[in-house]
Amino acid sequence: MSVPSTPRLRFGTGRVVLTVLCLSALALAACSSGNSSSSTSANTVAAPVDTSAPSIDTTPATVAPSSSATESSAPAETTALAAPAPTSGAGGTLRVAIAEAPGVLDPHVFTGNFLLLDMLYEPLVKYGKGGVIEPALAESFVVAPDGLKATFTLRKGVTFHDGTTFDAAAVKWNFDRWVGVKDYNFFKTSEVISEVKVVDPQTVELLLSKPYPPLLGELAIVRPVRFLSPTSAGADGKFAKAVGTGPWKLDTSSETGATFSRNGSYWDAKPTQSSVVFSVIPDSQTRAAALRSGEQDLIGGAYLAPMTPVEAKDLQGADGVSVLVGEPDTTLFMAFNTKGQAGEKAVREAISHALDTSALNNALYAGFGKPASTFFPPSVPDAGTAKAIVYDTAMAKSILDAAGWKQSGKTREKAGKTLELTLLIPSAPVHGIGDARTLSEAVAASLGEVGIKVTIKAVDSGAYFDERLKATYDLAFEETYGAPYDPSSTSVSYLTTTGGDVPVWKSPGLDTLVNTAVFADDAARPAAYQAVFDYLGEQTAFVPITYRPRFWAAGKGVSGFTVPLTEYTMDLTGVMLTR
Amino acid sequence: MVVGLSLVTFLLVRVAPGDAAVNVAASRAAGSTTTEQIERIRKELGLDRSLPIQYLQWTAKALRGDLGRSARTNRPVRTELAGRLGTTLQLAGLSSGAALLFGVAGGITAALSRRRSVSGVVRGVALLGVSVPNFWLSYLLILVLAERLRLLPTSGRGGVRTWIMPVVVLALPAASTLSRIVASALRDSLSQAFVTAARARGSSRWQILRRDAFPHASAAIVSTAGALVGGMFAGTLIAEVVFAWPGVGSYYIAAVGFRDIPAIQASVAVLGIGFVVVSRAADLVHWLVDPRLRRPTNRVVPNPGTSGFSRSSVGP
Repeated sequence: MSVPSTPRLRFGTGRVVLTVLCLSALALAACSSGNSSSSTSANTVAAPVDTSAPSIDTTPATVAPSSSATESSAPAETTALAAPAPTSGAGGTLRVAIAEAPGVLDPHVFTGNFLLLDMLYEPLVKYGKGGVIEPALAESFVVAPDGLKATFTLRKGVTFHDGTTFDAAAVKWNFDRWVGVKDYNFFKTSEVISEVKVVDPQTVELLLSKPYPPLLGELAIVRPVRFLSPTSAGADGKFAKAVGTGPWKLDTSSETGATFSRNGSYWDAKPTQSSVVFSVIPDSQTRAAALRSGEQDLIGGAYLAPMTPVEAKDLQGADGVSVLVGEPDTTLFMAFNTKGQAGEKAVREAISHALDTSALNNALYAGFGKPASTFFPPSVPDAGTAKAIVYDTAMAKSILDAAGWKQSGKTREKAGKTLELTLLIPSAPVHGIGDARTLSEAVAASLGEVGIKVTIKAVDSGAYFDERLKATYDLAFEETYGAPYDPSSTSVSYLTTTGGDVPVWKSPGLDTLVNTAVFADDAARPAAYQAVFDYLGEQTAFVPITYRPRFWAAGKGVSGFTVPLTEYTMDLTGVMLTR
Repeated sequence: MVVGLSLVTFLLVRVAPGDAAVNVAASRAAGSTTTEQIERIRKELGLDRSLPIQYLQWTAKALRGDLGRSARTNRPVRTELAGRLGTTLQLAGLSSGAALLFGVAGGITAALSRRRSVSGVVRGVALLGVSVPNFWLSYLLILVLAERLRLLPTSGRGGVRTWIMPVVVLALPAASTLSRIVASALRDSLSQAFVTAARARGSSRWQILRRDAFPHASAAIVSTAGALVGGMFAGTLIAEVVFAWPGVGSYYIAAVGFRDIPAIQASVAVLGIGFVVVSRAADLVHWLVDPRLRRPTNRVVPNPGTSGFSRSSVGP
């Protein structure tokens, strides 16, 4: 804070001056901090990457420090910490840092922290490895051949934390809170269920208005499909207490954190630790420091307590800290606005060959990222295949030459027009795209090499999505949604004319392909999705850049932790502590 | 004043790019949103009405103590702020106290010390304190005191040990600025003729400082201190985030990230009111310590033996 230079303040003008100063200070804080704490951290930690970025296109091989590639290769494989024999390390308190306050831990509203909700509440079916739907509170499930009925047999002997029995009536009570309610129409399951039928205490039938293959997948998400104890709502039916069936019970929850304790009567493997304490630490560098100093045991996850690649790299060297890198479930890619110059296929193709994605990865993800080639990462069901795009600037140039874009000075021209593209980025890191600033500079430099002039347009992160909607750009970065929502959610949102999000590519032909894929049965689905990917590849509708690494880090003495399958769930039941 | 503050805040928040309804919709769906959902949320938040109506509605409710519901948490903003206000007041208060104490003491030391090395050290520390960005200082303290030496916890609010780093980060720049003002104002006063006269009368150094020099220099000191203490409220924004303190500042930062309009408006109003109250208090203190302001007429009567009110060297 600079200090006002008014030596004496008299009534009147002095106060006005002060007010203006105060406001400008607050406004400045608002602008510069853009998206909360992470901007400050990204500013400082991104610096070393920043300096190396411009050199990418000239000497790709030297961009990634050779040490980083070798050092990170081994830890990058680690996704789980082996647990010792369960004779020691149990019965303690696990300390986990979280970036934001837990919120209202009601599974049917939208403010609670996903991972904390996941510890308290369980679904009928859960998302397993590779997107396989596995039994959870439903011991078994059958979808009728006509796709209009799904029958769930409930697990016996399951009780809520308050002792209430989990039965068909409890399922119906929960489903009635969101089935057919407008607030929940972001997922189709809430609309296609026409009736929730209690057949007997252990059997529930969902009657559907039309066949909906993604039903089971959507019943595995975190909110609002999970089960709250019917007795934990007040007389008015409103949420009163966070009572579920999960492995952990909620003790306290506040703005500064939450404490959970072991559910001693859990139906599945009971937690090894007796409690988990979550502490809110908004700043990512402070979280990393707290892990290093031994105050916290666990940080990480894109949603829970995100860390940057540089922070992850830094933590690898710290005493006793293990950095875990989860199988990526999202792809960061470049999207085009086809209404402008990027509407020309040759331009898109040239761009795809001008970007050295492996160098970008090494530079931006500190050696952790994997260069992407497909629309979805391989861990996503039905991710399919795609023809690899070779990095070849000569090829990029000749494609542009052939299309009539002739080099003139540093840029290219055709019919008196300069090949000039606007790359839209958020000026501060945002969820889903991360920090696009260094990436955009590297991309601009690479495209400049082949004669494509790129103007980077950085807008306030709050305004970024507005600008995308207004289509005031030629190039933008985009990321797929990730597990458990994919491949259907991203496909519908990005690739159809009726999708909710800013479309990445739209055409009536693609609409048909996507709808076929989303509604295809298990046998037909892989081929149907492959048709979508082939269509995108044929058009060079996007340029895959990276499969985003998922970082977690565990402190000294922590074992038995595995990177969760999705960014929205977390299993801490088997974690051991030796301190 | 507070009306003006709330109006400007209101307009700034609305004029700033970005759509609160889009954010709320996105947070619900964890991904895809539709235009229809966004429109419904816009209506829910009252963002579909005209700006003057929105402002009047907000003001009318705020006057009744209803600050609306947070778009992020869906809880009453008033409840959320009430829990956090105490934290911010304590932090800003203690940091202000430390800043005033060390600033004034440092300034006096620098002004009075006959040894160059002493005033040099004070000036050096003060220069460093003014120039170092406080988020950087925060990370440095965490790295050295918490991580390396393990003397203090990295973050959180609890016992005395958790207070040290946030208070140092907030107080150091203010104390540094203040010590420079105090030193230069005192040096100016000490060069005045009335000081020479007092010395001639045989007053001791401390007597001169207390009776003559300090009251003379107080105007500059009090107004600077007022501004610095007011500025503490803005300083809490960064300190609360870095040290994970649940105050109004970290609440505001979280709200801005989400474009949670009711929360932004209310927290700016609270921080702004804090600033206004402090500057009012500074004016009052100024009035108390400067006898000239209390004279019935606003006539400036020069002290006998004083050559005038040279303030050329006063001020940062």
